Amino acid sequence: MGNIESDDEGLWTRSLNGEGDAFGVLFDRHRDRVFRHAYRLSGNRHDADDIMATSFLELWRRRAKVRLAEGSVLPWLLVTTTNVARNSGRAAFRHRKLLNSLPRDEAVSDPASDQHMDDEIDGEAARALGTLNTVDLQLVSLVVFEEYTLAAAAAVLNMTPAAAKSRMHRARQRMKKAIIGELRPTPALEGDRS
Amino acid sequence: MNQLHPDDTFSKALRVELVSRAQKAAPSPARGRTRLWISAGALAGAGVLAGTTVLVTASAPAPPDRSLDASRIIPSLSEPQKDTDKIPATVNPELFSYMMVDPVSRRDIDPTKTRRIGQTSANTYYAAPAGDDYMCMIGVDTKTGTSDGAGCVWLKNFESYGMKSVSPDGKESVWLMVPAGVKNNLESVKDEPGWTQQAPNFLVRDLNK
Repeated sequence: MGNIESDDEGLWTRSLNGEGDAFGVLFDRHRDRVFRHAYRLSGNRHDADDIMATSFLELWRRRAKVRLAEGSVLPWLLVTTTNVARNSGRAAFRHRKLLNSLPRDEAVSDPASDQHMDDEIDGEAARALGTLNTVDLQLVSLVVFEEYTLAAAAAVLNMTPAAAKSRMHRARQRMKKAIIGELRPTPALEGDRS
Repeated sequence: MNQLHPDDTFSKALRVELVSRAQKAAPSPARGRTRLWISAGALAGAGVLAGTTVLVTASAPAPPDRSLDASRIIPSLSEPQKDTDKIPATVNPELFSYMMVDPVSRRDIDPTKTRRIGQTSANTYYAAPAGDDYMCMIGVDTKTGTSDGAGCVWLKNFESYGMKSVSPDGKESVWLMVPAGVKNNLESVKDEPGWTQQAPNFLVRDLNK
């Protein structure tokens, strides 16, 4: 699967052995993609920062259970990002004190900044994502936005390729309906947006 | 969308924090005593770490039962939970959290569905379904009441091998399987002394006795 970033396995192993710099490189490598996914789901830059940070903090906290998919931690991060964005309760609460203590740029609170970023996000697609259930959202995120193959996404999500294909088909249909106005986003996701 | 990036100040501070956490925690505390969980299918759980998991191809062909009914493996699941089936309160409750079983699909272990399946000289073993499609096995140190975590296997793959746990020193092994697989699985370990059938579908090899 050539479109997945290069092998994280060595960096991850070194990170687990206490090489902080290796973990820093993993962060540098995946930070922006995790952030973009978080922004896509939250529609808010401040929240996207928090979701991105929570995902990396969870990556470390849950390091003993993390599964690399085809040599990369990114799928785990993206799925965790989806879960954090949709269920901000447990994980975000766990790290809230730290998140609040980290410094931020003044410009981030500027609404014009979010507007500029909104211009870069396909608003219709973001709204359509809001109509999907969590598993379908995880699948669509991996396949459509991160360009994983259906087989790789299926493996990450513990489903058969056939099930992934079927789910993907239904999700596409649902998103199409949402874009032409037949469906509205689920309250759960709308509630996550602030 | 390439111009989308996080707050730089926030990001730099977060990076410092992450690097610091990795340096402080070295090496990962659970690694040295992690058990080896073996199954024939997808396997997730606290006992699973990169480099320590071995997936074994089917060794005990049995009539395929693709059912997601966990009681075909643990019949007592169809009966009320007894006090002896409950995991001791001394076990970290995070054991039941979704992340512990599978961070991807968020399957929980329901503490009301644990069942005691057997014991060795050092550990008591429990099994419990997680979500609709996983079966987990949890070993609890009988003296300390603590656990290294759960290993979990897709229910639909249980026929082919079941789930085996081996202690780091190799002196303790337990093997949960479907009842139909017992005969063939016992045959497969006939050259390994010490295996006994402790329950209709639970084999134990305890070399610490």
